Amino acid sequence: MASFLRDRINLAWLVLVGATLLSFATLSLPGHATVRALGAANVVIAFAKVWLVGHEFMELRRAPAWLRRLFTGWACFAGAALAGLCWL
Amino acid sequence: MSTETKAQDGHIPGEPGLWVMIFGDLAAFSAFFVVYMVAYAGARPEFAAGQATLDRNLGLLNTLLLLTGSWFVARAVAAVRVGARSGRGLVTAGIGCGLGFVAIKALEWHDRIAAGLTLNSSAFSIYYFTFTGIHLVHVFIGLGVLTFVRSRFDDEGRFVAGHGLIEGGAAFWHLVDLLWLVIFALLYLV
Repeated sequence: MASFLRDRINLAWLVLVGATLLSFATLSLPGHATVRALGAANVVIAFAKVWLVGHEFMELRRAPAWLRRLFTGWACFAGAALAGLCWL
Repeated sequence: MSTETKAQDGHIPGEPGLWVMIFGDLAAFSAFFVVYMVAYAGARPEFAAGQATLDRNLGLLNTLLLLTGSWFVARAVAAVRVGARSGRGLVTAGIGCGLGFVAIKALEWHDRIAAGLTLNSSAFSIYYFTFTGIHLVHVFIGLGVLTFVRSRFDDEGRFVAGHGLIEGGAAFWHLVDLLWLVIFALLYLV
């Protein structure tokens, strides 16, 4: 188990699965369908997962800085915009 | 055994042209997502009613399948880099996860249509079938790419093409996964 966790790809997968299950669990919270903060939180979690997929699985961690920053910038901008739209 | 699984610093995975396509796809989907959220904000009760007809457990299962498929493919790239012979099996497992996703999506669509929830049933339905349909096209393309990548392994498990091919193929597959993560959040969770 310890050697499994020492690998970044494995660790990223565990974090992604855990974040997915955490988001799914929010469906059980009372008032889920109406509490806008929960919706916005799930959008933020989704884009954090998106960033992790890009950074670790797509290997942008080792890509030229301009490519990595372009992807991170898109993830932050799109995530913030969609999370903000939860409050419209 | 310690394995070097990482690319050189400053290395563009696949080739630069692929990333032009990836960012173009991200831009297009971002516009779709904004349009959806504006529509959602203007008709919350109706969209909530539409979301209530979804089988969220199947949505979760599909998300876990694509995340695991991406994990297999990322491990395959790492295996090819160090000359391990497990790459073909890992790509095959990734393809398996993709096929599982397609099967579950077909089940979802069948159940919705059988219940009378077709494309034009509601505004939510239009967005649901459009987003999941366009994404499904990406899944099929990704499966085709992975199948081609798999064919580049010889009988002894050696990858006989350049590393750029498997890197690029993997990057497209991860894009498919990445887009679904947002679709799952917006359609099933928000």
